[in-house]
Amino acid sequence: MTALLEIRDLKVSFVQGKQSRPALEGICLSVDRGRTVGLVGESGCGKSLTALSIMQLLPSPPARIEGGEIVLTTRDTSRDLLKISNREMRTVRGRDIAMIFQDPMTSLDPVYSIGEQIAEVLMTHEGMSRTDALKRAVQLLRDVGISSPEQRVRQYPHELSGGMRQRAMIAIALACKPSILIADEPTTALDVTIQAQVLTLMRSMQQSLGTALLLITHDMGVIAEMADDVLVMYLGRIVERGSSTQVLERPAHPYTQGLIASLPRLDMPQGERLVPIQGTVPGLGAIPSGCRFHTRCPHVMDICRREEPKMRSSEQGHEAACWLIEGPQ
Amino acid sequence: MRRMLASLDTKGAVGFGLVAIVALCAILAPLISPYDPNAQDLLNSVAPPAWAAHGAGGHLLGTDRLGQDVLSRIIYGSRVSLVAAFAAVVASGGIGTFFGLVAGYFGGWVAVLIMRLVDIMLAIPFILIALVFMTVFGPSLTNLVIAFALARWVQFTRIAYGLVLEIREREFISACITSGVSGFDILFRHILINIAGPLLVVATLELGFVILIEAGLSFLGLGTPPEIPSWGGMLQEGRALINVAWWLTTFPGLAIMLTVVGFNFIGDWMRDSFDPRTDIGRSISEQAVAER
Amino acid sequence: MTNTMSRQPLLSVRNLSKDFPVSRGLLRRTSDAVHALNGVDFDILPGETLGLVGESGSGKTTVARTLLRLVEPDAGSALFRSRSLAAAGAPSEIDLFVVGARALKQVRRDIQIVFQDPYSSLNPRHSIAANVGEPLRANRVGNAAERLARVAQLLQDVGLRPDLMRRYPHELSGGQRQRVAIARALALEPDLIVADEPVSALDVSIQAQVMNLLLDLQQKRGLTYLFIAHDLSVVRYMSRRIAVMYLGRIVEMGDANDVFQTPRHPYTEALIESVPEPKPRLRKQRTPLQGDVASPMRIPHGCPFHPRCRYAQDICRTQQPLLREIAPGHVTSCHFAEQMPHAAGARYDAPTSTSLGQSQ
Repeated sequence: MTALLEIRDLKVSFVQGKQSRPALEGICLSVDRGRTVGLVGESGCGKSLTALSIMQLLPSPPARIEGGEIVLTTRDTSRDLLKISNREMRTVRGRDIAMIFQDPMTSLDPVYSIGEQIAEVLMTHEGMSRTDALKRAVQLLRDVGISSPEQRVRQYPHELSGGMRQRAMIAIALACKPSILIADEPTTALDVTIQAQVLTLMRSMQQSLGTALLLITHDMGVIAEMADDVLVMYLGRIVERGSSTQVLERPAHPYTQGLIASLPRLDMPQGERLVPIQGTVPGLGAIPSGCRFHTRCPHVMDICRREEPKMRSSEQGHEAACWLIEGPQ
Repeated sequence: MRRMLASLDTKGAVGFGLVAIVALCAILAPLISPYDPNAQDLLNSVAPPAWAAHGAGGHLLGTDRLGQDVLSRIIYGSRVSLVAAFAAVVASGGIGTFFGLVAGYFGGWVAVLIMRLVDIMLAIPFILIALVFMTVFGPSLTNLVIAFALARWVQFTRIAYGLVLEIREREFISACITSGVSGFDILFRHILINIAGPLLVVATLELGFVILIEAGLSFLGLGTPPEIPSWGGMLQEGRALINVAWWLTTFPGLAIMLTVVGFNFIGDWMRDSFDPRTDIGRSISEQAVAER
Repeated sequence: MTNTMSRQPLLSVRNLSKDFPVSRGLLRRTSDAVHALNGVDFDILPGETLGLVGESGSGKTTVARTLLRLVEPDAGSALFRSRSLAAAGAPSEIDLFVVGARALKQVRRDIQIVFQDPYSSLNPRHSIAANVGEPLRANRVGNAAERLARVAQLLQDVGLRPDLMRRYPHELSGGQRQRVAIARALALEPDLIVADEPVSALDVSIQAQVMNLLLDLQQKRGLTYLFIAHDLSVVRYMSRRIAVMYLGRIVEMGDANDVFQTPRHPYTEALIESVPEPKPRLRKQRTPLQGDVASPMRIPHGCPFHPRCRYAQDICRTQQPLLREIAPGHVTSCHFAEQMPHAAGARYDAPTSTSLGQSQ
């Protein structure tokens, strides 16, 4: 069965005057129906750019798509999102693919009530009348666990707490029952107890609607909670992919290993020190030769400096771009 | 700073060019002016520019009623305009920035007092204040500068106040307080330098404004005395003859216009450079990030 | 390990309270107040790290600001043993909240703060050298040349190359800027450093570097930290003792191991359960805490946590529980603390070997 969404060899660069810097290279990713794929990496790795590319929301200039395909397969038709017209893309956004962002305060329009914002999506994509759309909005608010939805539907974003705003965003996103929900750091700005609520909500909505989820975050714990499959990004490339159990319990790429070793855990014995990755992420203008991670890698070898490794399998379904792995390419 | 200069676009370059020409005129007036601006040549009075019909040779832009050379008077007139402009802006800017800093940082009744005063002053049209002032105290360049300082400081205070309110909440100011930096030092070493950018933009725009006001007042006869050539004065003198001697008003008018435009362009360019949201501003800040 | 019980606290805070009035309406009448702090008590012993953890509205940042006198408290005392005052011949133990302006300037040399945001905590128009040297200049320490030398040394101490002195903040990365902020905090050789979310804005790999730096500095210089954060794992890593705050009060405080292994307050238990751990097989089936974080403008009667507490009884709605000792060095404010932790709560057994790659 074909994947719901498949990205093949996506390449994006930043153009500034005459200079062009690669921001994403060789991104290959697929999301199957109903599954949760986690995209993890630190700031500047390109994970948000990948999400924006799917939604064709890249600020262009300065970003420019240099190549690749993003194939969406819904209702038995496959389309390359990079090639369709703007008008067609607008029918995709909100209906087939929905997105929620990190900061619910700036993602919601402050001058419209949340009911109106939910209704807008329904009226645009399903042609509902305003009355019907608002009724459905109340139902959706109830589904996402907002109490007293009949009153809340008339409230404005600033009258809601952070957690409620994020729930309202989820309601807007899932109003038209999209096949995929892209969530870009959806809980990073929330308190940890509210984060737990929102993640539980996302999981249950996913189960009841069968929506696939592309979850973008820097938080390994959130990935462990939510994702079936994980991709690790570094400096615009995917360096490791596999199931979340494989990647988090048996990380194959030194970067992933380093990230996990940098995380303080509640059950660490007192006095044990974290082992951070040495150095800092190079800027986009100074991408290292060969393997991009070699400047910070504790296991660096000669070949790492010269040649960029391809993805190699360390176990079934688990691969990483590292010369240390001996598996098949 | 270096990066800003490198990002000079056409508008900014034109602005600097125009202002540079005016400045050179002012500085080198005795050297480049073909005639003494007050040298009367009554035989050649109201003569058209040399290159126009019936032009008097040797007077590139013609002469006025007293036979004084228009070009020389324009060159010397730049001095009046620039001196007035810079003096007035330095005075009003200094006063205004000081009040804005104090109001923004200390708040309380001091701020209320200052800002209500600002509101009152803003409600009165400046030209009215200037007219009244000059009528009461007599027309002179000094009085114009004083009138300006007394009335236009509010422009700076308004901007400075808002900026100080924003900067004062930043954590580096809290860090100064906890390190024992005195209030005076915080205001003048830390806050002032961070609000200087937008204030400079206001200053350049005010420069243009002063020149216009000075010209207007001189036109009304309330500006500099007639022996000192000033562009506004030239306009006033030429007004009566506007039907027969177009050059007496056109050239001073052009001088005023180009100078003000020059300052405005510089102000616009500076404002764009400081704001990271515009193309210029963004490229400057991106370069800084890329260089690290 | 030295017996912490026998040492005198460096800082003793009692009954710290602060309300922020909220004015509404056209005439800006004061109608309401944010009750940010409602009687906070704690001690910090010299050389230790007290971790202060809580979510938004807990008041933890307000604690930091009142201790530094950036905000004036409404009530309470903060007894502090100031080395600078003692050196100047004045009585060394003073109340931070009542000390006069001149003495405050002296005392400020002993308490410094590191902020969360590495972007706004440095003056963007001053060089790194000027930023780090400003406390020295303001306190007239040495002449200009001596100050520069000291700045170079401080930069090295925080792991930066001294030639960064001439650069400007926007040329540095977030992690480097935070190190500069730490260097500045060390300039006057303080005894106590209040760190208000110092790593929250940094990437994961940089977080670990900066946390290790803070631990190293503590060992080398005998520093005392009040470490404030919302991330439990971070607080756990940095602190020996932890205080959990909710709506302006400390609800539980004790040794970090005790608090995390046997939480004695339902809120602590809920916090621990909410933390997503990077262990996929431990995926939790627990029910998360209901309700939104309560607003500090409308603090519930009785126990402030009762509307969200899954074990709430009648008494919780009417009577506010006091902070009491439930075990040596471990205090909590819950009427039913003896019955804590409940079966679902105790998840953390004594730590075993944690070599990477071992599956549970």
